[in-house]
Amino acid sequence: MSTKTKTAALFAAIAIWTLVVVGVAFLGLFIPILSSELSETYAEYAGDSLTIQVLLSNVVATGMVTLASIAWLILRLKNSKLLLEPSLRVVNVLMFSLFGVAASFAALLTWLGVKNTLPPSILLFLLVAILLAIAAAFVVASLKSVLQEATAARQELEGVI
Amino acid sequence: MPIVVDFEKQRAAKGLTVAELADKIGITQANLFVLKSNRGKAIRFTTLEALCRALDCQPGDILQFKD
Repeated sequence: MSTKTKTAALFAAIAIWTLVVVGVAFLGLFIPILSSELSETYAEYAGDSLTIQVLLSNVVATGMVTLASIAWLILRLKNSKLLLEPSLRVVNVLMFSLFGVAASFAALLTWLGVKNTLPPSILLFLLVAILLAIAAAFVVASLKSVLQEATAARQELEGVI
Repeated sequence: MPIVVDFEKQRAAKGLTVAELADKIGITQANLFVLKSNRGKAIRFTTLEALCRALDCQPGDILQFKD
């Protein structure tokens, strides 16, 4: 791998890890404040502070796992370790975390629907987010088979003298 | 694997050590050992050619089919 590509991969990994750290700040600070403010400000969310916190935290946490697994794969690419067995486990984590993101958004959508506080714009946003996450998960699932084939080919090549 | 690489007789006849043979072929001693112990999955034509040149033999002299 060229130095330019390695540098790009390093910067991408740093940017993503920064986002993960921001996510931790969201989980620890912003979401608890936002959920308590929402439950205090709006009568329809009164007493729902914990529910809001759990629902939003789910979205952020699954998003963080997704980002962390992408950063991990980028680092493996940088260190020329992408075509080794452990990468497949990271890809599995990425795939399931994307399904997790979709499920978190779906849970949020369902809860807002049940509360009858779902404006059309939010409904559209959540539907797009769910579809995007599901599509990304299926793309990852199909790319995983390519990675599996490449890993097997590399293992076979290693036995060639 | 039924295909066996056996070049010990030729190596002994040439009076080459494993290190010298590996050096002549241009592969590491570790890889030569993998070949010798039949743990290799495949052999490149270039490696086979170098082996034949170094041992002054034909591919058939060092490759055997043992079912």
